Amino acid sequence: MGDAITVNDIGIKFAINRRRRMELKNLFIRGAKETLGEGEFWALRDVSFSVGAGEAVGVIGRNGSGKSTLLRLIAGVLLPDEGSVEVHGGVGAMIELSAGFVGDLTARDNVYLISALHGFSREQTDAFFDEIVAWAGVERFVDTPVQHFSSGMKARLAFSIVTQMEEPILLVDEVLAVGDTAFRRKCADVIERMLAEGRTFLLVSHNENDLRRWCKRGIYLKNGSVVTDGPVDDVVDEYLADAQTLN
Amino acid sequence: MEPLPTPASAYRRHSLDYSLRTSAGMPFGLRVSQLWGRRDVLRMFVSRGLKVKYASSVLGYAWSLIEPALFIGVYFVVFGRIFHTKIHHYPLFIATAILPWLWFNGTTQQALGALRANGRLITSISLPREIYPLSVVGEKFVEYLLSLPVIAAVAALYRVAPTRYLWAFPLAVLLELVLITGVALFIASMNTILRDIQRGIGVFLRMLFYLCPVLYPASKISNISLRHIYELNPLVGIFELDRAAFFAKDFGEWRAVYVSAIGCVLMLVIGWLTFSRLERTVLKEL
Repeated sequence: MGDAITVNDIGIKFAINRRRRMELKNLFIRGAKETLGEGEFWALRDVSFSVGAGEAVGVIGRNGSGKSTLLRLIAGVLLPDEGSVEVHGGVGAMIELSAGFVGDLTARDNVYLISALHGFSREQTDAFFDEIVAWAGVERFVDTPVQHFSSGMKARLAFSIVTQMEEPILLVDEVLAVGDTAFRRKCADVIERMLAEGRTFLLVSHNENDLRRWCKRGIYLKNGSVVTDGPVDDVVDEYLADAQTLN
Repeated sequence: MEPLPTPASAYRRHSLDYSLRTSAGMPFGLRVSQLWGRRDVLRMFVSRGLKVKYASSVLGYAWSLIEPALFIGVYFVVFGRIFHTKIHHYPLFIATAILPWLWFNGTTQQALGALRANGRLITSISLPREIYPLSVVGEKFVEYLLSLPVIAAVAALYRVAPTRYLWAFPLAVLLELVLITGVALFIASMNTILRDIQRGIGVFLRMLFYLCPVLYPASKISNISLRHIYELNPLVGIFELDRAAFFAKDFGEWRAVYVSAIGCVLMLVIGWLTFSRLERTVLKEL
């Protein structure tokens, strides 16, 4: 099988301070300049790897190492300043799941809205609506505006929608860190079902156990570059050893 | 482990998707086709916006009628009664241009926050980014159409029938829609990186209001070269067309309309170009 994700020499820079005057030049210059402007830093640089179809890869690294940025570049919600990202197949991104909720609207309206954002048709949503509402345990509150939901209820509802994703490539960013123990176990079951279906997986997590359990391969990011790319156990061990020396 | 059954048709559909993301961004044709592919989401955002707006106020839809009616009343009292304007059927005269003005004004103000207010959503779900300003355009367009009975009501009150230029009205709506789309794309992306716009826009819009033939006819500017400069504002031609539907003899010449049409298309091109050039920067800012 071919590659599902190919990342070629990717680089993205961010501004350190909040002064934006420099950015206006982007209006007149096509594409990005590959040098750093004043007050900029590379959040990721010269990162290359590919993920085969059906492979499960975990990305690990300290806070600010560029993990989430990498995932967002692959998801297409950030664009690189240099290099390219190629994706063969539909991408389902599980990033900040409750971002699309509108507090004024009911849970029912929100489910339809967010499902549409994830690419589901109205008919598809009709078909799984009862199931996911039950899965999230909010059957009694489908006509309550979600602003009255607890953050846990919102997280459960949001996750229940993405359990229906059919995309062959899934990007998962720390979304499993929410909810109580019982809910996290249910989430883990869903992830395991999706893995068993042979989908391509890219998982960002601080939880070494999740990484070891679900991924065969690990990528260790440090200060915006790939330090190690190999079997997940080796990569996690190296990361933990690094963390030890820093403490 | 035994693979669980997956809806085969859906899986195949998604496995055909291919995308390439580079620093150069996307070619224009691809942008349009992706936008077209997600038009269901655009429709959904429009109805979400209207739903939230109408559900969260007691008067709901009535506001779309009350607001322009109040504006007509205020300007009629100030300029018609206090300053004694001699324009015939002055409330209707104001109505024919102030509704299109309020449409432009409202869209511009709301488009300012189109990207910034949706920052978390934009950086977590991949959608054509144009959807956000365009859904403001759509929402405001529907509101505008729903407010049009106000013009009909004022015309009925003064027993003024539409002229043979009634067809000019839909043309004016079309031109303004093109203009507004360009403005929304421009201002939503610019405001993300240049927050000064938020502060300056109020004064700018107020100035623009007086530079448009809303409270007075364009023919008031009698100096011909000054008039030509005045008509460079695309809203001038648009409002003249709007007004021609009820005030045929005030409709002077087509020049202003041609200039306006060119201006509207130009604004759309500039708006979309700005939006696509700034996209990479905007995404980092959100």
